[in-house]
Formats: sequence, C-alpha cells, structure tokens
Amino acid sequence: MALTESVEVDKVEIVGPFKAVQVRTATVIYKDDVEISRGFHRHVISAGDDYSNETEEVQAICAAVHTQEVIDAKEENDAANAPQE
Amino acid sequence: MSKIALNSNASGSGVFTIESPNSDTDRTLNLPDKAGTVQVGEGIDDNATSTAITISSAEDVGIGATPNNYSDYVTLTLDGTQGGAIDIEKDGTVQAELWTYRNSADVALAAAHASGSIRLMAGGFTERARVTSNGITFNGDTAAANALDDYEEGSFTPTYSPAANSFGSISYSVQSGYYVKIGNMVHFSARISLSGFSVGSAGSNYLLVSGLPYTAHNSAYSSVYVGYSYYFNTRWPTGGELGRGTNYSYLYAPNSTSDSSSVICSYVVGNGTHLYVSGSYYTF
Repeated sequence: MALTESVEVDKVEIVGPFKAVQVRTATVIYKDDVEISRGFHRHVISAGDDYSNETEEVQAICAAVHTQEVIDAKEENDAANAPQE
Repeated sequence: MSKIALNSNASGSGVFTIESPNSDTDRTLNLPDKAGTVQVGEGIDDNATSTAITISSAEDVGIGATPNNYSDYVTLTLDGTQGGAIDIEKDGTVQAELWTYRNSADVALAAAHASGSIRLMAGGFTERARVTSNGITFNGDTAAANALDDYEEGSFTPTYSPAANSFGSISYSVQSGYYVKIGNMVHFSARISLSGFSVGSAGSNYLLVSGLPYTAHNSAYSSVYVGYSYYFNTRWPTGGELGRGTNYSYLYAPNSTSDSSSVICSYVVGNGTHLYVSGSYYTF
C-alpha cells in the first residue's frame, strides 16, 4: 500500500468588475494510485496584489487581467467603500 | 385426433413452403394452446453466432451476460467490457442515456439534448427536483436564478493587514479558516492568534481581516461576527463589515461615548491577540 499526495491548482476563476482572481488549490491523497481524498484551499488575488509567489499559470492570468486601469478602478472602489469614521 | 388445416390466402400469390432441415434427427414444432401469430425473422435474432440475449426460466433477461437473479425481482443485466448502457431514442435521436461511466466506478444518467433536463419525481408524478443546465431546481421552479449551481467546502488562511502602509512585523500562532459555499453564499469561520507583532507604519490605518476565500459581490452589504476577542489594546472588536468587491473585512468596536460602533485601527492589535470571527457574504 502506497499513499501519495498531490497539491495542484485545480481551478482559477476571474470574477467581478475588478477581475479578482480566485485560486483553488486541491490536495489529493492517493492510495495505490486511486484517489481516496480531495480537499480544497482557496485564496484570492485582487487587482494590485503581489502575485510573484503564484504559479506561472496564475501569474500569467493576473498579468493579463490586472491592468493598470483595473488596479486603479479597484483602488477607487476600496476607497469609496471604506468606513467613514 | 386433432385436425390440421392449411389455408391459402385468397389474394396473395407467393408460395408458402414448409421445408425439413438437413438433419438425421426428427424435429418437432410445438405450438401453444392459444390463438396468435408466429413471427420469424423479426424480434430476437442472434444469428446463431453468440448468445445475444438470454431469458432465464425466472424471466430475468441478460444481454451480453447470464442474467442475475434476485429473489422476487425481475432483473435486466447488461455486461460489456466497459459496462452497460441504455439508450432511449425518439425518432432516431438519443434523448436519454444511462450507462456505466467509462474507466471509473461511476454511473451516468444524461438528458442528451442541449436543453434537456432530468426530472426527479415522487409522491406519484410530482416533480421535486430537476437537474438543468443552470443547476438543480426544486418543486417545478424553472428560474435560472433559483437553481442551486454550486456547493464547495474547504479552508483558507486568514491574515491581518492594514488598509494602508505596513506592519513592522507580524507572526501567527494560529491561522485557521474554513468555509462552505452554497450557491452564491459563502459562510466562513476563522481564528487568528498572534505570537509576535509590531505596528510599524500601519498605526492609525484600519485593521483588516484578509485572506477570505471568495471576493464579496460589490453590490451587496455583508457583516461578520466576532465571538471572542482577547488582548486587544483599548478597543475590542465585536463585529465587522466586508469591503464590497473585496475579500477582506473591517472590524468594528462599540464606541464608549455614543450609541454606535466604529472601525478599529491597526494599533489595537498586540502580541498575544486572539480573534474568533465568522460571517456570511454574497459573492459572484
């Protein structure tokens, strides 16, 4: 019996007007090459976030959708929706 | 002794022939004691090369296999190298299929047409659920907006971040976050505990709980609930508000001088701070 683990980005979604990149990472456990478990971990890369530690595929997506125009629009949105003390 | 009658058809011109087989063994054709029509060359035909269909004495039917027999059940057994499949056609076009999914332990049921759905009925023929291209609908509702199209559960890593500038340093003893997404609604719970912290230039900039698993819809207002906060400086958060179009939450604490609460700043966090927070929010 051999247990092995695979960690891979299995879903990338681009959502909303500010092109948030939602990344799902799947951790899959195999027993003798048959999948017995799959768990998910998520994180979001918003326009303006540093994505240099992401996979090459995710970096390419962020570079394509997080244009300066989108980053500026996201900053405006965040400032407009921030609580007013 | 019974009688045998052979009657020719008054309008037909073809010759009806009874021919003996090429055999040295006597053969007998027994007819049932009832009226009916014998059809040969239509219906079941295995061409004598293999057993295409087997009908057992228990009236179970096997195609490509000896039929299984389960007590008090009539069984149809299909067996091929990839399993079995049932195709239901209408005028030569496949409408529905039930089959063993290739190279897996799964079974598939499909409405083949691009706009087809699968209806599940109970209590007679009352529709209770329908699998459509938009998701699962209930009780005959066909609105796409009401279709349940997603369910997912998993984990995320909650963090603190300042709305502007940066902390001097931050280290965590616990970063635990779990979520369930049902349709467009995300439900989460999280704990953040710090083992080291210096506020740096973040100072009076708002404190954010970041790293939430999905981006909040930018047209929906959502709040979070703090069940436990410990070792904050001067103000203790009791709730918060998700930034619309973001995946972080501001934290709020009651004001001591008015009947309201207000957002807290980064300087209230300290080494040893604990925060238990949960909430629900609408996403895309």
